[in-house]
Amino acid sequence: MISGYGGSILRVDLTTRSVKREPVTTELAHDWLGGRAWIAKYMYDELPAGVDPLSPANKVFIATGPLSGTLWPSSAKILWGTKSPLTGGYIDSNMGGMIMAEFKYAGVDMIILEGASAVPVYLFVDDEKVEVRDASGYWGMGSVDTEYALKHDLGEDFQIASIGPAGENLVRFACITHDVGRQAGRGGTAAVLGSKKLKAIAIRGTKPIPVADIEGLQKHTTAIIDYIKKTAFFPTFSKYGTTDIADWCDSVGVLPVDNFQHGQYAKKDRINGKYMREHIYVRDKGCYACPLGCSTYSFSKKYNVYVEGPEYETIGLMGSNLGMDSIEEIAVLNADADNLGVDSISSGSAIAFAMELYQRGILTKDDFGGLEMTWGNVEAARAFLRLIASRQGIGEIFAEGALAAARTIGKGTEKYVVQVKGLDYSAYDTHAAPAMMLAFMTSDIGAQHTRAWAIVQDITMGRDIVEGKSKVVYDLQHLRPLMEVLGVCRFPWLEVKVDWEHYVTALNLVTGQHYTTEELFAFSEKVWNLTRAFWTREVDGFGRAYDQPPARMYEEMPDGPTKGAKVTQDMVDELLDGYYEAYQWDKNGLPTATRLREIGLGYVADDLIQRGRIAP
Amino acid sequence: MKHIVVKPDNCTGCRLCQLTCSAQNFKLNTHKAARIGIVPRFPEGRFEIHLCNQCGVCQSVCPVGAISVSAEGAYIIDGETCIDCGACVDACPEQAIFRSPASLHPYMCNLCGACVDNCAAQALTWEEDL
Repeated sequence: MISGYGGSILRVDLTTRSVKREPVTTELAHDWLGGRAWIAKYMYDELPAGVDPLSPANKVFIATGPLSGTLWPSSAKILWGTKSPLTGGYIDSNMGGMIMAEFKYAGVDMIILEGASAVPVYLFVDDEKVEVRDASGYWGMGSVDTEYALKHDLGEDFQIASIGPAGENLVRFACITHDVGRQAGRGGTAAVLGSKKLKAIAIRGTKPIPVADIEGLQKHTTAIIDYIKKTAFFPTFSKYGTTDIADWCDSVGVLPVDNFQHGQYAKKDRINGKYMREHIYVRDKGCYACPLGCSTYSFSKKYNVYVEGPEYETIGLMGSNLGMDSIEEIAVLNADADNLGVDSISSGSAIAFAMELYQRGILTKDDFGGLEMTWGNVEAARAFLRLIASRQGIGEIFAEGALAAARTIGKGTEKYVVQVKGLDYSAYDTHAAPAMMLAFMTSDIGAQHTRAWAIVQDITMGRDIVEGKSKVVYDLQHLRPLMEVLGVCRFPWLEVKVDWEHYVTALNLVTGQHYTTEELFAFSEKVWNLTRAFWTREVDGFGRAYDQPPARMYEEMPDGPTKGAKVTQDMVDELLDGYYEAYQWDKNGLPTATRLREIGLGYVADDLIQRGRIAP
Repeated sequence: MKHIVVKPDNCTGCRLCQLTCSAQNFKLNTHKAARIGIVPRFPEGRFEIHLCNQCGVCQSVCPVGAISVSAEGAYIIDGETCIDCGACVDACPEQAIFRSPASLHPYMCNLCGACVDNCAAQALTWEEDL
């Protein structure tokens, strides 16, 4: 028994339907902690180089961290990792909810899915009992509907993660849904499950998580919750959650509008948290052990639909970025995306790209099977999303992702796709936000906001300032992804300023170890180098060319608070030079053999040298 | 006498009350040993809270007189006397008497109040009898 861990890794071969339970060793726990660090390690070590993401040889790694499922506030993260079918590189995507605790109560810290079934199946875990079961009765159902159906059939105390029709149809930005509306959204992990014909995981366990000092943990937790309750921002954040920033984002010109073509949204008052609270609010909803309860469960009377959310990212990408009228339209698009099982960020990007092609006359009503893809046309957007999820008509092209669709369509349309490494931008315009842009450029999964959310530093340090921002991103990339190693949410740290040292204390109370911040940051450096090494190994020609911002950012912003702002190549080069220097990578942004050896990744250096990817 | 009052409309379903209760009373990290129940009802979107309100029905149905009231007003099942017949569990109008591997006998809220401290949503609060 290792404190903080369920104790085992379930290795499931879907081809043969065999299951192996491997022990979590003290070396694995101490040297690699868990969460995304385990995923990075196992992905590099176990995936054959150059594997097709949708082939049986790809694997899915579902990992908890040592704090997942514990009493520590907001210990509600579980990570889904695989070689991304959207980007061809490293992806891990995390979800909140309840399932991470159930993993550990079943004695499972990580599940590794291998091979592929010939027929639809789901994975059933009830403590020691693990079975690959027939899922033909659930195949074709929506993600959320599948969760309700499996709970009905197995028992309400099972926790379910499921895919929808989009995952089944290998849509490359399909996502995994759990607990009504918590998603591992990014990078198409659900398409990999679809390729393995795995519809869902149902899991239940009865074993408490071993904690080295449970009394100390309870005392520490109660003190932190007491602190949180007294913070000035707690009442606002627990009420509005991520939607609270919609107004602020509009006021500083980062809310995306019409595929990032504009810098301010005329209908902002109809899509913000306040309007949402007044029109569609049902109740606040919290993830496991979370005192913040930032999620909002909603019901749109206009569309007669329940949805968890919308969160800010969905408000941005499926709201202002599509010219939608109000939160009601965003709610129904969000509900559609959830049940079809597609990432609302990449879905918003794909629809926005399609609408811009329509705006420019590059694609017409005929191309869209009769849909008028005008900004704000919610019914056209909904129908288009269904075409994507079912790969019908033009949906077949867009199901490959917006960037791949642009490459098929040609005519220079790639410049209208707002992405990095094939992963679509989260909802922050970076015409005048160099640190946030660098965060998107260098995030190890593509243009995702969670690795380094640096928009605040852009405001405080100066919108046009480049100097010092490489270091800002480097530092954030060392702290924030650590949360996803430990299996906790970043919001208590980010939103109500729970000091990072309290997380380290919690980790030590749970594990009985004596980790320090210095050690953990050094560990972060190792994990970041390892994911970079994975990209270097998997993608021919990987390097600086893959860290470039989207073409849109080089266009002058025509309106709004950032009117006239645009990015220059000099800025981009300066940002990347400083960033690569901070990581001690070469000018092309590749890890060096020397640096890899210094940080304990000598075997990775040897591997990359042998493959001719880096210099000896 | 003090009672813990439940406000289900405030509950976010985070289970911190249950985690805290299990830690306080059984020194276990789980929500499944708790003396309080949280039941999500979706898609309609609400959380039921099941917590002893000291109504005393359990005491009246116990065939062996195993249930007594503490000085703080909490109902306590005496493990020595309890024959584990389940009559109290079945009769509890609040569905607030629980069984788990943490105890050989059923149990209910002992008014320790640890859950109240950690319920940031204020779905659990202390209230004094007038």
